[in-house]
Formats: sequence, C-alpha cells, structure tokens
Amino acid sequence: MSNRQFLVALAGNPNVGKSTVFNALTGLRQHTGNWTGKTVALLEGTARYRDAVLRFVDLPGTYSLRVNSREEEVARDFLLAEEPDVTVCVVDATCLERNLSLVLQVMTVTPRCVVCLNLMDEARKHGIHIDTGLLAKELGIPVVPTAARSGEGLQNLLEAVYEAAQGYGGAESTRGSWKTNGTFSTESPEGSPKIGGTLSTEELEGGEPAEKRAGSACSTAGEDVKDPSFCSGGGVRDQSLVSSFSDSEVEVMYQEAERIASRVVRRPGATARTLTDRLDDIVTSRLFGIPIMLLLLGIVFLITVSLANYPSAVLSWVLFRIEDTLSAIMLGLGAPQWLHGILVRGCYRTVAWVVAVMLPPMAIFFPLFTLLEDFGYLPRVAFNLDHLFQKSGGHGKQALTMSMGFGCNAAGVVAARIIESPRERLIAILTNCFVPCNGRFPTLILISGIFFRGEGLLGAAGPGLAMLGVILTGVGITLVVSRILTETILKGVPSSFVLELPPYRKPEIWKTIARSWKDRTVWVLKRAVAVALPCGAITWLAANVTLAGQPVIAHLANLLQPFAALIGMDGVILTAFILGFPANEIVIPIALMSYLSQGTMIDLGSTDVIGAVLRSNGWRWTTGLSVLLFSLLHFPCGTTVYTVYKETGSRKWAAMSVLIPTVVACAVLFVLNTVFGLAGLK
Amino acid sequence: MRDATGPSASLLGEQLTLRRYPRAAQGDATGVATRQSPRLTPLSDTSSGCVMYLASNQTGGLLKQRLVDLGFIKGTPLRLIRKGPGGNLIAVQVRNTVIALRSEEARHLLVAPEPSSSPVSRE
Repeated sequence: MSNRQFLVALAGNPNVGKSTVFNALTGLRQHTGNWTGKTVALLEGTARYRDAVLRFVDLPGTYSLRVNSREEEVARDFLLAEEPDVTVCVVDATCLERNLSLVLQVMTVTPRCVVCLNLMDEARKHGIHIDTGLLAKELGIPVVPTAARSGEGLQNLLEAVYEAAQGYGGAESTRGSWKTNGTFSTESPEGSPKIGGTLSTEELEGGEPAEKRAGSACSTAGEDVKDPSFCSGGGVRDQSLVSSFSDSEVEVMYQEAERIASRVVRRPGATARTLTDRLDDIVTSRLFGIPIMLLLLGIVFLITVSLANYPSAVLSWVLFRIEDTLSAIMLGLGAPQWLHGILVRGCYRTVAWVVAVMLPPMAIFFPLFTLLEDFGYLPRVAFNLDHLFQKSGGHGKQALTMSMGFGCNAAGVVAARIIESPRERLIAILTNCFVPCNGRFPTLILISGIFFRGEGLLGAAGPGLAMLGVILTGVGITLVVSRILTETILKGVPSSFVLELPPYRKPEIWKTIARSWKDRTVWVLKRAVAVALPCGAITWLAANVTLAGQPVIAHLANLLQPFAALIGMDGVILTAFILGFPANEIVIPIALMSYLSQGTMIDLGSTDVIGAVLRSNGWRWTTGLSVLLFSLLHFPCGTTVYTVYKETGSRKWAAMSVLIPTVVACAVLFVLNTVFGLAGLK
Repeated sequence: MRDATGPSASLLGEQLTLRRYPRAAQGDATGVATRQSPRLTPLSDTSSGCVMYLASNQTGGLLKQRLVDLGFIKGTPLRLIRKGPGGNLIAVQVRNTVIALRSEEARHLLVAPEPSSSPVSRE
C-alpha cells in the first residue's frame, strides 16, 4: 500500500510556535479555503513521510476546548467532526503546566495524540529541564521534544505521527478517553451505559500509578482493561453527545497537569529577571509605553513611504514598456480601437497601476509589521492602550484588530473574533475601517507625498508625519465613534479584559518576510488585480462612452460636484471613491483616468507626474487633506462589507458598517472645510 | 471561515451536569463573600513582586471560564508583576505565564499569603 493519507490536526495554546511547527513540517505545500492572514480559518498542508501522505491541519491556538470563543469552537468542532487520525498537541516547554491542561482536554475528545514539546531551545536557555520520558509515561502518549525554529526533533515528530497514525507507537491516549465526570460519554451510540468510565476526583488525588489509572479510565462496563487500544474511538466523538467541559472539570485537569509538571519539570531555583521582564519594564511603562509605540509605528511608515518610491518607479517603467508592446501587437493585428481601449488602456493599464503603486509599499510594510507581530509586541500595544478603549466602551484587544486592519480591514473584521464579548466585538467590527488598510495606503502615501513634502530634511519627513497624523486621527475617530456607539445603539457594560503577554521572541527574519509576502502581500495583490481588471474596463467605458457630448464619468462627476465641493473635494474624486467601492486601491487610478481621458494620456509616472496632473485639475493642499481624510474615514471596500455581513450574520450591521463611516467622513470634512472657508484658506 | 451561527456556548453548557461534584458546586454557589476572612486581599491591591495564593475566584460568566482556562484555580500561586501605563491593567504571573487583567476585575480575585488547605477539598 503506498501513499496512504492520514489526517493530522495540530492543536495547542497560542504563542507556542504551532505555526512554526506547521510551516516546518509542510513547507510551501499549504493552502486554505479562504482567509490566510492569521490562523483562524484552517490552513492545511501536506508532508510526505515514508509511504504516507500526512495532511496537517493547523487548528487555531486555544487555551481550552470550551466554547468561549470562535477559535475554540473551530478547534473543538474540527477534532470532533473531522476525527483526525492523529492529533498533535504542540506545547510550550517553558510553561508546561498551562499547556498540559489543554493536552488533557484534547486527549478526552480524540483517540490518538502525540505531544510535540516545542520551544525546547528556550527552555534550555532558561535552565528548565524536562524529563520527557517520564512525561510520556505520565500522559500515556508519545512525547517528542522539538525546537521547531531550528528544525530540531521534527523528524522524530513525523516518525511519531506516522506510527501513531498506523495505530502503534503507543499514541492511543491510554487515559484514552480521559474523562472527568460524564460530560462526554454518558451514553454510547449502542446504548450501553458508559463508554469511558470516569476518572473521579478521588482517583486523581490518590496519585495511583499511571497504568492503573489508565486502566480504570478505560474500563468498559466495570471491567479493567489493560490494553490501551480498547480506549480508542468510541462514542466520545459523536458530536451530539458532546458538551463543553465545566469549570470544575478543567480545575481537575489543572490539578492533574500540576501534578505531572511537578514530577517532570525541574526549574532553576532563583529565577533571574528575563529579557522579557526587563523589556516590558520599558515598553509597557507609564512614561515610555505610548511614545515607544508611536515611534515604532512612525518608523515603519517612514521606511515604507521613503523606500517604496524607487521600486514603484522601476515597476511602472517596466509595465509601461509592456503596455507599448501590447498596444503595438494589438493594433498590428488590426484590433478595433474600442477593443484595444478596453483591454489595454482599461484593463491592462489599471492592473499595471495597481501593481506598480501597491506592490512596493505592501512588500515593505507587511514584513515590517509581521516582524513586530512575531516579536510579540502587539499584545503590549493592547496592554498599553486598553485604558483608552475601556473609556470608550471598547476592549484593549480592539487595538489588535485595528493593527490587523492596517493590513486589510476584512482581515481586521475577522480578527475581531478574538474579542469574546459580542458588544465589544461589534464595536471593533464597525470601527475597523477607521484604520487605513493597505488598499488605502498607496492613496495616502501618494497624496501625502504630493502635498506634504517640504524642503530640506524636515520637509522630507513631511509625508511620514502626515501619514502618522492620518493614522492617529483614525485612532482618535475610532475611540470617539466607539464611545458614541456605546452610548447609543450598543449600550452595555464593558466586558472583561484577559490577555496573555507572551515572552518576546526573536523573529525569524527571512521566514517572516517570506511568509508575509505569501500570506499577505501576494494575497492582497491577487485580490486587487482581480478587482482591477473588470473595473479597468468599466471605468474606461465610463470615460469613453459619451452621452450628449460628454463621457458618462463626467456626467457623474458633474452630478456630484456641488456636494463634493462642500466637503473640500471635487466631483471626479468623489466619483472615483464610489466607483472604487469594490477595492480602495483603484480610487486614484480611476480619478486620474477621468482627469486624463479629457486630455492626452501620459505614462504612469512618478509622484511628481501624478502631482502635476492633480494640481492642473485644481487640487490644492486643502484638497489633498480632504482626500486624505475622506480616504481614511469613508465607507469600507466591498470585501470588508461582505465580511461584516458574514461575521455578524446581519444585513443591518453590514449596512451600518457603510453608513457610520460615510456619515462620519462627510461630517468631519464638512466642518473642516467650512472652517477652512471661514479662515480664507480656500 | 465559519458563519456566526454555530452551536452556542450556552446551549452546550445547558447539557452540563455537575453530579460528581456536589461539594465543589456548593462551594462556588455559596460564595466566599459570606465567610470572607480578613486575610483575603483582592489581587489588584497586592504589592508587585510578592507571591500570593488564589483563595477565591468571585468573578463570573465568561471571565471566570477564561480565568479557569488560564489556570486561575484555587490555591494557584499568583504574582502581580506590574501595572499598565493607563493604571487600569495589571500583569499577573500565573503558572509561568504572564496574563494582563483589568484591576476592577482582579478585585474579584481574592488572594491569601499562603495556600488554603487542599485545593480540591474546598473547605
């Protein structure tokens, strides 16, 4: 028999390097049905080992299998419904006790487990010694020590999984269907009274040898069965029989975890202050916490803004050459002008634009941000900012969903699942679009580069400062709107805040960059191109089909002009924002196209050329500022609205996610431009 | 991506029984408020650095579940590490991990300078 397939689930606490294990095992042979930003949707990858194909599924990181959060629900439902052949529990060797409680829960619901004792390198560094042999004996399942970052132990892990999948190697959780009290298996499908028996508190306290307990845990109809294989499978996994663990059951598991950990883990007596402690003293201090955060964000944006121009210029030069060649070929083949217009001037040019403008900033921003994320800095942001969110009725974790929103608002909306309370989660979802996503970054970067770049060293920092100002404005508006929502349609008592602050870890720089490219940059770019293609054609048609002597787009622009003027913009850019609803990336390309189709076509060029086009169409710095703010505050893109609908299951909230930002954007700009008008700046 | 409409926690929770833990269930239900000894201090009021033992978890609902999941069990040693920049958060060391909590929630975690008798037999 060759190429047997086995389904292997990877379970574990958050921050135990589960994704590192997953990536190291499966390499690039991964795919996911939908969102790849963070492990909430299930990522699947394959590894070949000997004659088998191991299909690994990366479950969300959870602290338990109780249904407190969506992640836990996803993880538990997967284990119960998909019935993986083997479940690998990835545990953190530096805090075994906490991790073991999850292992015990997993062992309760799934028949074959392997423990991957990860972060052994870190444990060694801290002088923590773990008797893996004894741990395996205590748990009754294989334990493989690994350090996934360096690849240590991964071959052994594959071997253990391979053996477990075939039903040998002792992976049958002998405590098998480790049960506390009748939660999971009060009846079996056949109707016999008890499948797994129970493991009572008394038995746990007694400290009997593991084998004995394993036996009693597996007893069927009161009969002690020593053979562990009797315990595999069974009615435990029938979903209809399964409910959640109770507090007392988890407490019992913790006592057991404590007992095991106290036997297998030896820690150095006097613990020196770790690097994490010392860093946190500064990073989360009252004095430096927020300034350091602003500084880090500022540096990330400054690097992005100042470096993105060069590759952008090269890309647009290359892509424009290709457009010339395409034009020559098409016209040479005798293609009609309209077809050439739609395909080359419309589709190709828009796509080229999106690629040239978006790719470089994303390719710089995402890796930088992912580095901060992998370093462990983001939970500190939530820690530093919770008091602000608490005052506005939100949750500190909203800072994390906002951070994710910088990548993609749809991703940010999905990330709001980490907020358990529905009220705060809705607040986070509805306000997520007030942080500029990468689809808007090119617009923001471009506009700040054109209208806020000054002379000299200080002037060169102007665009970066403008960006920082825009982002801080977004954060401020988020807080204000959260507060307003709390006072009006989302009344309620703010819920609790519980957040782990994991130790800082040196990010794996190259892997992080590669991963952020694959997971974020390429994914977002693909989506943008897919949207840009049809939009390019539609926009070209709107700009070239004439009604009553004027192109359609001009009619639209004229229609919107009076309103646009009130909020400091013109009809063309407002039309572009509306036509750009499918993807914010193409707002500026659409605007330029409408401007340019009235004159002669010029090449996709540098910031200066675009600036010249905009200025020649009457843009001033106040227009630039208005567009910056409108871009920041306006309705989210179509994908995000659809995601809100999916996440909330409600058309009403999806509609609110459009309505709230639109009203906010118009109100802010109206006030601002009225003030400008009174001050004589317009 | 899963839809929001899954089996809800509360639905599943209703199927729960606590038959085997009459004592434990009672201990939680009666609450410590009635027999609070002066030695118990809210976790949020302890001074940073010193180890205290969880005597009573008087939080409720999701928060309590979450805390239990993270290992805040009766008798667990806890150490307040620091307060957050806003003054509302505390970072607590529990089972070799660091967990951030809001002070007004940590107020409902009562700690004692030494572990209470046996964590399992609650009295």
